Amino acid sequence: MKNRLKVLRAERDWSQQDLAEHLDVSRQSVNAIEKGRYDPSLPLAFRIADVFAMPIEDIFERD
Amino acid sequence: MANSVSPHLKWSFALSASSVLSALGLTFLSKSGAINDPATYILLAVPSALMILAFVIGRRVDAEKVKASHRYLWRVALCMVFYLVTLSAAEILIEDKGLGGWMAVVLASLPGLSFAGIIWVFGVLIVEEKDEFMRLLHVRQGLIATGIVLTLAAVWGFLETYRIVAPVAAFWWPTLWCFGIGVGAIFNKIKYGIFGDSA
Repeated sequence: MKNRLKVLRAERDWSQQDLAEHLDVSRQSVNAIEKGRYDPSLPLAFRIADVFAMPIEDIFERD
Repeated sequence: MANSVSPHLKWSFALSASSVLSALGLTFLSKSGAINDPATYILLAVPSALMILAFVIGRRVDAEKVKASHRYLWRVALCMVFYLVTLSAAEILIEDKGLGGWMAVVLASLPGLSFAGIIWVFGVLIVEEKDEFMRLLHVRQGLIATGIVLTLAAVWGFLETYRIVAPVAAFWWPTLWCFGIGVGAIFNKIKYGIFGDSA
């Protein structure tokens, strides 16, 4: 699954650690999601959507 | 998610590690004949005191502020201390003093039962881990370790049956499982680029 986390982070000038703290996960988790190595669960995907105040489908898209 | 480790936790880790190392040193000194039995019994107070102190200080750590993986390491250290203390006691009382009967059976079982503690600690790590990606890594490590050890045990068992290899003491299989956790961490690194916190 592709995602726009890196772009959305950059727009807010956030580091991976900053986003991790917003989501209450580890920086390694953000890195794994961002690089497409790990697809988040639905609850975490909703948390990501809440942090960026965007619909999930605007952040994640099918391969 | 907090990355800093509290001073209490650091002290607890340090004391647990010191307890394990001093117990190992004491076992070596006793078995090599460098110190006699009364001295061994008196010096057993050192690792025991360190373990108790580590436990007391560890209790002060706010459970909600500490990562599950840090609690895991502390609990593993306690299991290791239990293993070393019971093993030392078995060596001294059964091997050296000739303890027999049901007390010998109970005492000889205790070091092995520490592995039940390791499995419980690993299970609690998976339950307490709030970071779902880290939880995935822990589960992968456990499955890889279990797969490696059960396969090796089965293969070795058949090789033993057909007298191709010498019999191996069964306590090596759970010991290998602990090493398998490390192998699982290497698999995590290859697939996800991170070892995982429980390695």
